Amino acid sequence: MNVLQVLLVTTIVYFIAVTIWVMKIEDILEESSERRVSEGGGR
Amino acid sequence: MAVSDTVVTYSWVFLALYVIVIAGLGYWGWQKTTTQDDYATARGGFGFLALGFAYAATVASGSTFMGMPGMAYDMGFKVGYYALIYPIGAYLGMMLVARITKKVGDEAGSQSIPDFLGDRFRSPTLRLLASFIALFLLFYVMAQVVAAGHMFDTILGLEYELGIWFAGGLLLLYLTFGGSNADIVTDAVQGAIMIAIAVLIFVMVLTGWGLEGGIGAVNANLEPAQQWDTHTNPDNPTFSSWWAILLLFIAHIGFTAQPHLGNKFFAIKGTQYIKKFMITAGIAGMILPVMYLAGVLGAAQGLEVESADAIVPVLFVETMPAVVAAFLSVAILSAIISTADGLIISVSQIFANDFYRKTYAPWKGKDPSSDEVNQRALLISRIATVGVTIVAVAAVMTPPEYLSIFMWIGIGGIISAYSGPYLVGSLRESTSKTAAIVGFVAGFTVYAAIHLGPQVGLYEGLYPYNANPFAATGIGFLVSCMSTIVTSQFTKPMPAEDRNEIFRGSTELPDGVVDDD
Repeated sequence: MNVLQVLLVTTIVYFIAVTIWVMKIEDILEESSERRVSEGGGR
Repeated sequence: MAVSDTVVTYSWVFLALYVIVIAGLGYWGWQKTTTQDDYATARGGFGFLALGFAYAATVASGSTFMGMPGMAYDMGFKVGYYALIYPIGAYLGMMLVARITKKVGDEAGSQSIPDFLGDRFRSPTLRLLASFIALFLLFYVMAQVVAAGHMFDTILGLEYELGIWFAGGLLLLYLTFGGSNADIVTDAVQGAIMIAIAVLIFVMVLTGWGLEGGIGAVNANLEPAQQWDTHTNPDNPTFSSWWAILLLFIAHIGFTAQPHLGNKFFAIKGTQYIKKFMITAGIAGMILPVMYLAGVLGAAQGLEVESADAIVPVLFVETMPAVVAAFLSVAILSAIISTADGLIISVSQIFANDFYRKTYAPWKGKDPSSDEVNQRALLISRIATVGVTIVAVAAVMTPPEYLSIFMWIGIGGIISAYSGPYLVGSLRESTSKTAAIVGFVAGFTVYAAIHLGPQVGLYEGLYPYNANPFAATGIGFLVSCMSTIVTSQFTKPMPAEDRNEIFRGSTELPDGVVDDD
């Protein structure tokens, strides 16, 4: 692979990571944080 | 390079229009600024689109728009391992901390990132330590002013010594009274201009502009060491190995910790807009550094330049219609100004908020949220903005020889120090105050030992860390985060009710504005 091909693959992986974070992980973190209210501050 | 009179004339016309627009936006920002908090943060004042563009424009400075193309003119396609890897790290890091910074920062009324660290850990010590390190951002400002001076010289034929004062004057025109509101709104407009030019460059390179045979011809016309099959160069500290490139990526995960970036999160209208902000900034931020390919194209076309940093203006002047080449001057100035303004505001807040409002005033028994303290802090903000700008310009009347070294005391030092407390402390609520301070000190100390010591000539050090600030910062980042995590295992976290108050304080109002009462 040449430099541009490596960068293209890396960029695609980056956009997939952004999508997963925005669509899934942010919600998981927010819910986990709210759950700690009832657990009295938890972890 | 001799620039035609037509390009120079058009450039001055565009510059005049640009100054009028920026002044108008500065006036708008002034009208929106009535409190110290407005000046420092523009809290809750912007939607995801404007703030996303503004954040991306703040990240991409003269380095992205002139420096990296210059590197690519010398070293070819492999500079993409800096230009396109650094934003991947930076925006992934941004996503880790954006929501928590907004939520916790709004609840505590934090007005800067050092202030946020102090509020998050309830540690005046951490706030002060972070503030002192943040003063090194002044060198980052100086580097942008130097870039502006060179840009004025190259495209407009305005002597460097005059160009730097022009740049300083332009910054003060909108920042002195408009503060963060003016900073962000101008950044958003500048970001749009920068995206347009980056897209143009991308199209030019894909089509092999000025050559026959598309992008393949671009590659074929380069020296072998510049071509796309050459990934590393052991003699160049930045691209010496895949490990160095990985460390560059790691270092930039902490890039968002810098005060002039982290404070942007306070300005989003509400946490419900954070996701759209992340997407906007994440996309815009990956488009802008495509500018580096301008240097590759210039090299392939065989353009001759006195200094590699001038390749972007030379490329445009030699190959584009005069009016397009002239517009470039506005785009490059946008890249520079959109970073410099946020830096100046951040340094001003070290004095107005971190030193005065949150350290000196409480020491004197005054309430930091009182009107008296806030009005005085607002005055200090404006005076400091003027002072910082004048000092930065005066300091570079003769362009300093080792400016990039000093710049990276700021950037690398801040990332190495802040990353543990900020990133780990945002994702792990149980991180203790002691762990945060240990991570801060350990990260900075390691960075100073492996990079700053050799750079100031104290000792030889170890290659590439002694010469490559990104690799050294990557190590500093890792040390800061790991020492924060490890120390946390052995120290008691804050009491649960304190953590609840910090992380889950008051509820947001329906339109996303946090009630500070």
